[in-house]
Amino acid sequence: MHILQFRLLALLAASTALTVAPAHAESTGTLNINGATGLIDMPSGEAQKDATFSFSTSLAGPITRTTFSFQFSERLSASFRFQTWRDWDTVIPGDSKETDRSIDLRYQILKEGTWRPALTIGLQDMTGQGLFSSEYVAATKNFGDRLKVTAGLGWGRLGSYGSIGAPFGDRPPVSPTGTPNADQWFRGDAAPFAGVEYRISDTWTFKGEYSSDAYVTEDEVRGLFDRDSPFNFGFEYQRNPNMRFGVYSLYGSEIGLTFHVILDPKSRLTGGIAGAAPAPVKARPSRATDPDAYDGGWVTQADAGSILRKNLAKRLAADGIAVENLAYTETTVQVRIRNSRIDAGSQAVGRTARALSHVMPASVEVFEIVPVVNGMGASKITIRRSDLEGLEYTADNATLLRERVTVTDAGPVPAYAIGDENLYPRFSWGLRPALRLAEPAKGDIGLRLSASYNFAPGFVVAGSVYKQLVSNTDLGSPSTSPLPHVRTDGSLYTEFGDPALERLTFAWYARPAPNFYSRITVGYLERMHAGVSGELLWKPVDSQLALGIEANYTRQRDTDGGLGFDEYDYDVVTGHVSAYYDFGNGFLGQLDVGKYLAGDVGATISIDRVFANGWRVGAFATVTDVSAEDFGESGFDKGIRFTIPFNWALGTETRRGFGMTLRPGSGDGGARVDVDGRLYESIREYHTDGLDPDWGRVWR
Amino acid sequence: MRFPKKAIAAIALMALLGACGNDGGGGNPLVAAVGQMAKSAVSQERKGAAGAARPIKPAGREELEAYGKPVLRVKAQALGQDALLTIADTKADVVTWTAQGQANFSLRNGVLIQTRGLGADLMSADAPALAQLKGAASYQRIYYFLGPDDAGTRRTYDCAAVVVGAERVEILGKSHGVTHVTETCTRPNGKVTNDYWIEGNTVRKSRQWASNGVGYLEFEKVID
Repeated sequence: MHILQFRLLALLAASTALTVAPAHAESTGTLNINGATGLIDMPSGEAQKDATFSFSTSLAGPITRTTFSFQFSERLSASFRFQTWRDWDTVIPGDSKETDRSIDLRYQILKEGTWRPALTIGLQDMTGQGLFSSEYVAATKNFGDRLKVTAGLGWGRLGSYGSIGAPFGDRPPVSPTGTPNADQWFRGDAAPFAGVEYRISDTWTFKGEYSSDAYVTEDEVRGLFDRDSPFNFGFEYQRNPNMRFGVYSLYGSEIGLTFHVILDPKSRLTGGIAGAAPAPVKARPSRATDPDAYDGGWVTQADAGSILRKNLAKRLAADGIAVENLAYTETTVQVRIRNSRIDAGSQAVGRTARALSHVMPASVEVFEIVPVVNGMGASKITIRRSDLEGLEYTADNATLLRERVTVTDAGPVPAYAIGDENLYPRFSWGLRPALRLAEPAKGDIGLRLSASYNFAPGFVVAGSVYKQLVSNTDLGSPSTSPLPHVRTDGSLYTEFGDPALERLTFAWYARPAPNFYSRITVGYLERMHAGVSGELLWKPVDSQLALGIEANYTRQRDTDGGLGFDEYDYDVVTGHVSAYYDFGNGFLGQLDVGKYLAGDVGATISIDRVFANGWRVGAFATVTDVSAEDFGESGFDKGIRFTIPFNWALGTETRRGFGMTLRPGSGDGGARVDVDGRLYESIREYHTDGLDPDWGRVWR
Repeated sequence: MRFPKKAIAAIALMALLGACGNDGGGGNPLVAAVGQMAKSAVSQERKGAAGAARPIKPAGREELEAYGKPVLRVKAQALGQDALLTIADTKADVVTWTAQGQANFSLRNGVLIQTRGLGADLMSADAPALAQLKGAASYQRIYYFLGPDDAGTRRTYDCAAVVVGAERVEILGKSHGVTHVTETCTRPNGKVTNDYWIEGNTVRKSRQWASNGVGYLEFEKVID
C-alpha cells in the first residue's frame, strides 16, 4: 500500500465512523479517473464544492494515475498528477515504465441555470512534455436530480478521435518543455465527446461516455493496450462524503478502477473542536456591595507578584499555555504567554483571559495578553475585564467582545515584569517517527531526534538528526544540471546521509522596533546548506501588507549528513526582498525578488489559501535568469504545496500537521535556502488577520 | 512502487515506540491515526468529538440527595452520553453545569444558551425567557455556532410557544406536576422543536436542540 494512501486511509477510517451526512447533500461534480471533475475519462462542465481537496488513484489498464486536486475557489481548480505507464517497452526497447507529472487548470465560466448548462474550460497537462496534454470546453446539465448529461469539445489528446477538423490551426510540437504550452492550446484537431451520469440510488451511480481520446501513444505507438471502442461505462459507489470508488469498462478492452478521497478542509473530520470545556469567567463582587475587594493595596505586598504568577501558570498549564512573565499595576495586568498546544490564537487568548479573571484581584480591570513566539511578542490583545464578565452569556458574544477588544503592537517587555527563574534556560527534546515523501509513493519513514535549548527568550540552539528505517528511494540517475547542484543532488543526500544531521543552528529572534521583527540564524540551516541567514520583517498588527528582507551566506554541505564542506566547493550570497499581502477570505499572496542559491536572479510568486483551522493549499512559481533548457525538463521551478493539520483530522489538541510540496520536476534554478523560523508565518496567527477569521473561538 | 512488509513492521514498531520527549508537541499522529482506525473498527457507532461525560452508574435519589448539591441530568443521544452534572458557576439567572470540567452546559432559567466541550458547540443564543415560554409568546430566536472553518455563523428562527397542558413527569422515582410547553421554531430550510416541562419557575425537564452535530439534549433537574 502506498504510504500516503495509508495515512489518508487512516484519517478516513475515522471519518467513516463519524460522518452521518448523506452522500449527496447538493449536486456537485464527481471525479473522473484523472482525478478531475468529470465522467470516466472525459471532463465535465461542473466543479467541486468550494475548497474541496481530493486525492485520487486510478488503474486503467497499464496506466496508473495519482492525482491531487483542489477547488481553489468556486470556479477555479487545479490538479497535480503523477502518471506511470507500465510495459512501456512492449514495442520500443527502453525503460519498462515511463513516468510523467502534469498540472491541470480548469475554470468554470458559467454556473448551471434553469436552462443553461454549467460550462467549464480546462487545460490538462498544461506545462509538461505533452504526453497527456489536452484542452477542452465541456458543458453539463442536470435533468431532475438523477440525470446529468455532458457534451464537450477537446483538443490535443481529447481531439485525437473522431476529429471535426482544426478550427484554430495546426498544433505545433512542445518546445521548450516545462513552460506553459500556450502555443499548443486549442490548436490542432478538435473532437467532440459526450456522456451521461445517472444516480441509481443514494450510493450507486452509473456513468457512460463516448471518449474523444484515441490513446495514440498507448495503442499505436507503444502497444500497451488495444483501444477497440470509444465507449466507456461503469459504476461508482459512495457511501460517505469522503470516499468514492469506481469500476469501469474502458475502450472495449480494459478494466478501470478508481479510488477517491474527498476532503473538505472547512469541516473537521471529527465534527467539531475537540478539547475540554473552559472554566467559566469568575465574576467579581459588585463594587457597591463589596468596595473593599477593589482596594488596590495588594500591589504593595512583596510576594504578590510571584503568587499571582504561580497561580496563573497553574491554571494555564492545563491548556498547554506557559506564562513567560507577568507585570501589573493596581488596574492593569500584562501577561506574556507561550501557546504550545491550542491551534487557534483566539482560543489561547480566551483561555488566558478566563484564567486571569480567576487569579487577579478585583481592582485589575485591564487584561493585556501578549502571545510570544520564539521569544518575540507577536501582538498585544487588550480586553477589559468587565466586558469579559458582562458578555460571557450574551447572544453573539464573540462579535460583541471583538468590538471592544484592541489588538496592538506587543511593545517591549515591561521593566517590572516578573518572570520565572525556572523558565530559562529551557531544554526540550523529542523523538518521533517521521515520514519524508519525495512524491506520493516514494520516500522514507524514519525517526527524528530533535532538541532545542532556549537560554533566554529569543535565543535558541536547535538541531535535529534523522535516521531512515524504511525507504524505497534510490539514487536515480546523476544530475546533469549545468548549474551548481544546489538541489538536484538531493537523492545523494538521502542515500548517503543516513543518519544525517539535518539542522544545527543558533538563532536569535528579536523585536528591534515597533512593527519590526528580526531573526539571525547561524549554523547548519538545512540538510544541503549551512551558513548564516538574517531576516527583517515589517508587519503592523492590523496591516494586510507586510514587507521583509532576507540575506544569507551559505556553503554547500557534504552529502553524508555530517559537518563537512569538502565535496562541494560552493558558497553563495543570496537574498530577497519580499512582500506579503492578505487578500482576505484566506487568500495570501507573496512576492519574493532576489538572488537564489545557484546564483540566479529572479522572482517567486506564490498564492496560498489558508483556512482558520490550519489547512493550507497553495501554488508557487519562480522565474529566474536561468534558461528553461538549463533548468531541466520542467522548465522553471513551480509546484503546489499543502498542509493538513492533525487537529483537523484526528481531533487531538496539537499544532502539528502533515505537509507536502509537489513539483512537476526539480532543478537547481529558483532554489532558496530552507531555513527554519521565517518570521511572517511565525507571527501572523496573532495579528488581526490571523485572529479574526476564527475569533469566535475566544469563547471556546 | 510498493512498501514491503518491512514497512508495515516498521509502522507497528513505531506504534509501539510512540513518540517520546518533553517538547509537548502532542501525541504521535501516526500512532493516533492507527489508534483512531482501530477504535472506529471496533465501534462503528461512535459519533462526535464529545468524549465529555462518562456514562453514569444508576445512582439512587437518596444517594444524590445525600450529596447535598443540585444535580442536572443530561442525555445526548447523538453523542451517546448520559451524565449527571453539577454547578460550576452561577451568574444572575444563568447557571453553568459541568461534567467534571470536560463539558459545560449553560442554561438561563432552564433554557439552554451555551454548550462547551461537545465538539459542535452552541456558542451562544438569543433564547426566550421562561415567561415567554409560559406565556405562549411568539418571538425570534437566534443560535450562534462556529461554522465551516470555525467562522462564526448564526441561524435565525421564528418561534412560537404553545402550552400543551398539565402533565405529570417522573424523574428518578419522584413524580412532578408540570406544565408542558412546546416551542416550535421555523426558518426557510429547517425546523426545531423544543419541549419544556415546567414546574412553577423551574424547568423540571426539557428536550432542547443544541446544534447540528449534537442534536437534541434532554435535561432533567433531579435535585434542586
